[in-house]
Amino acid sequence: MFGNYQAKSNLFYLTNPAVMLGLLISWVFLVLLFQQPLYIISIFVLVNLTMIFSGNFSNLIRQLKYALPLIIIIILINLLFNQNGTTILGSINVFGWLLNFYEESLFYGFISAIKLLTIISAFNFYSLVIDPDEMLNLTRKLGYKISLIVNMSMRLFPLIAEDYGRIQAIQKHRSLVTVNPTTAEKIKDLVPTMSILLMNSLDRSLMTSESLYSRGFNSGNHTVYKQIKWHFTDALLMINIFLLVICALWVQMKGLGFYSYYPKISSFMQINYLVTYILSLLLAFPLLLNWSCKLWAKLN
Amino acid sequence: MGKIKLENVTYYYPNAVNPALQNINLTVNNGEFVLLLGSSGSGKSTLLRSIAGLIPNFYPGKLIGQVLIDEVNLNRLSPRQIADKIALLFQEIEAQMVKNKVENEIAFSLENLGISPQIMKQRVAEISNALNLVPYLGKKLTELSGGMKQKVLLAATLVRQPDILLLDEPISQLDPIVAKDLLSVIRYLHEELGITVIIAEHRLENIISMVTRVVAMEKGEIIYDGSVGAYPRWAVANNYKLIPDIPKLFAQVGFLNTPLNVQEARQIITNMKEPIREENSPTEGRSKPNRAAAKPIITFKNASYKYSPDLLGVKNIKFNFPGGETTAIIGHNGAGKSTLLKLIAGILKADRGQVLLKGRDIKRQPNSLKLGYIPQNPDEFLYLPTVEEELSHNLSTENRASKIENWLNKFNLTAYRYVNPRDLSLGEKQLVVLAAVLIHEPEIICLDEPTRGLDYSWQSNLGKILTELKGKGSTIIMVTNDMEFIAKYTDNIAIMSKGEIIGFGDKYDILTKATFYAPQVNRVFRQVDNSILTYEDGREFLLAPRVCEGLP
Repeated sequence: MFGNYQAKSNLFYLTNPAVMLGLLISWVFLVLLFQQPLYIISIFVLVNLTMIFSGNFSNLIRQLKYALPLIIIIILINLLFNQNGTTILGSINVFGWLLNFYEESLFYGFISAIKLLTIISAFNFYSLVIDPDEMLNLTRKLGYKISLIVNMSMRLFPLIAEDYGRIQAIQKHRSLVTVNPTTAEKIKDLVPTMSILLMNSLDRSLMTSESLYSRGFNSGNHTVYKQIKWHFTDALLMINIFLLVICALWVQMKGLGFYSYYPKISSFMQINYLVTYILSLLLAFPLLLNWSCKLWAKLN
Repeated sequence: MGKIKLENVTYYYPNAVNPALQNINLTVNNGEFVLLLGSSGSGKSTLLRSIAGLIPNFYPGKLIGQVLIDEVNLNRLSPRQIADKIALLFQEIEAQMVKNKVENEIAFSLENLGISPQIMKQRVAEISNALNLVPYLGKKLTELSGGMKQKVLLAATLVRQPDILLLDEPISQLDPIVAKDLLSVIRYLHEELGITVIIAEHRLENIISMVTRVVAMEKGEIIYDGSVGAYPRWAVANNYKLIPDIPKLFAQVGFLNTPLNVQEARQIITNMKEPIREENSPTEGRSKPNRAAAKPIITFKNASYKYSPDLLGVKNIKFNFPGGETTAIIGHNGAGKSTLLKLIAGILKADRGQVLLKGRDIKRQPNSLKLGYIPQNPDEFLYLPTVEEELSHNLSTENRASKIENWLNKFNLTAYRYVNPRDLSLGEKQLVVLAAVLIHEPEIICLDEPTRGLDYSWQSNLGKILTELKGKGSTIIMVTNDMEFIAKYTDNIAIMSKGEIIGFGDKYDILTKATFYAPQVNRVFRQVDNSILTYEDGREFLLAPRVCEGLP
């Protein structure tokens, strides 16, 4: 689901990883902070637009392919088990017990799925645009353990993704994997591959930390081979992130971020639309800055 | 300074009953170049780890005795002091890589040691030049072949300019040309900078003449510690299998001064009396056994494969692999050898063109045990909890128990029958994978670097098993850069370069005309009989009565 870093020539790839980390945190913070669907949808749209204009449309599609079943499950679980709504869409009889499907549950499930998808997109975007080498240099300042955890987790998903296909194919040769499997068999077939993936990941983590130890990692003061540069655009983005967070906190303090899904879906107020515009503008700033940089480069 | 002293060192891994190292007493003086030998699982890697301070600092276990570096107990040195003095290159490549880009990986250890950016840049540039890595500096490590990754990691180790350099199988995956390059850099560092080097390796042909001393280990104990010159005679006298072909050949024939490399051996041959050389002019008799033209079993029809738009696997391959024969695929690291093997095995599907197995597109054929694939990395194969289960998996019930017994014996795995294969050494894991695949006696056997981690004794056993399977009708296709193994156990050789097959022929045709790919024995005898490829050929030649008379 998560892609690999591949250098590209746009603002997002040239931005300081600390600033990008700030952007990621602000997106996740906002989407967790608000309940208001308008804000959540606007964050979702702009995070994904940022991903597209950073040159990662194909990665977004791939991510959606993997995330879609998860979203459907979330919506279904809400629809089936949340009986707090009032607007009945339909009902079924399950062993003499009437199960109602509510519009409110469906809507709440949908917004929850959007929230999750936004968080997945934000992390995927970060893993795509941040050079892991720069990230390691950045996190070293935060201490050995944090640095190790961040580095290993950033390497983990791409490595697992790479290993998966190879191991699955090798296991096919051992006929541990069934030919033309049913869904149940497909799940069963995953066992050997997943076991090997897990065991290899554990072994690899141990060996990596052994290698790090023998190479003097965390053995005292360190230097940096390539200094991460600070650009004017980094400062602009930092200001933008700061304004975004302040604005979000103000909205929340004023009670404009809350929304009631049950027992009946609330209607939107005029002020909600205005806040959505402002939030969208702030969220779109990195995109506008990227276009401005491209235009500036062309003009020069 | 780089003096190492181990005093009565015994070490048990956590929860282990038997010691991995047993009463080791070893002194390596500053500037020595030591070859550490031993069969798979003999304790070589553990010994290197104990010298590098990873035992007991990283692996808790139970350590008795002491390790001294420049007369200072290792326990008294801080991790920084140890990292500053000692560099260890591990056997497992992938897990050692920390950074994303080649250049950053090389510089990583220097960053950890607090070297100034200016010096770092100089050192990275210097080592990249020496190892021909400059074109790869900006590349991602994941885009490189296994051999290239090993080269980068070696650069990352050498760039530290340590006092003590410990290398655990550094050339196991490299093609002969790159392996020679690397060894010459190590030799340079040793000779010019006086670095103490301990190298554990199974491919000894090019290394044995570089070292000053040999230490052999078995079952955690040192069984030989002496000069390299005396080692061949000791090995032959004690029937010890870990000896390369050239010294073994001359020691067995009875030479007192055993040559260690091609140059020394050729000198002996050159010093033979002239008539002998004339009488033994190149013969055609040994070359090209009369084989009927084999029917193709695997056909490539303009097959291409790309890993990504920028990363080529193979391109436009038009080729027939002969059935019932053994074909080795050779070529530089990153030439596309493993990709070609994976296309044959059906692990990868051609982007363009077709791969036909017995005339049918491999994509449309169901998976079958008739095609066995042995991957480069045994950890991608092993999954079941015991060695026995790995072998019995999917095995037909007919004679199941006796088959398992037989194959456990063949690979000397009976003692590990109920052991989890993942707890074994790399070489032993490789044996388990080989046994688990070959027990099915597949019709087509694809092997990716099958001799990796295997000592000479096991290489020879594997060769015999493969020959036996070929005798039963199996087709064997292997990717390897082990030219000695190829010379002994293959029929044909396909040469690959930049994703294409650029040459194919009988092994005698290819190897006798090769410069760098020729096995060492051939290079020794080339001037008197170019058809000599293997140890057995050479022995036959040297023991011929007219040659014996002519020996100095």
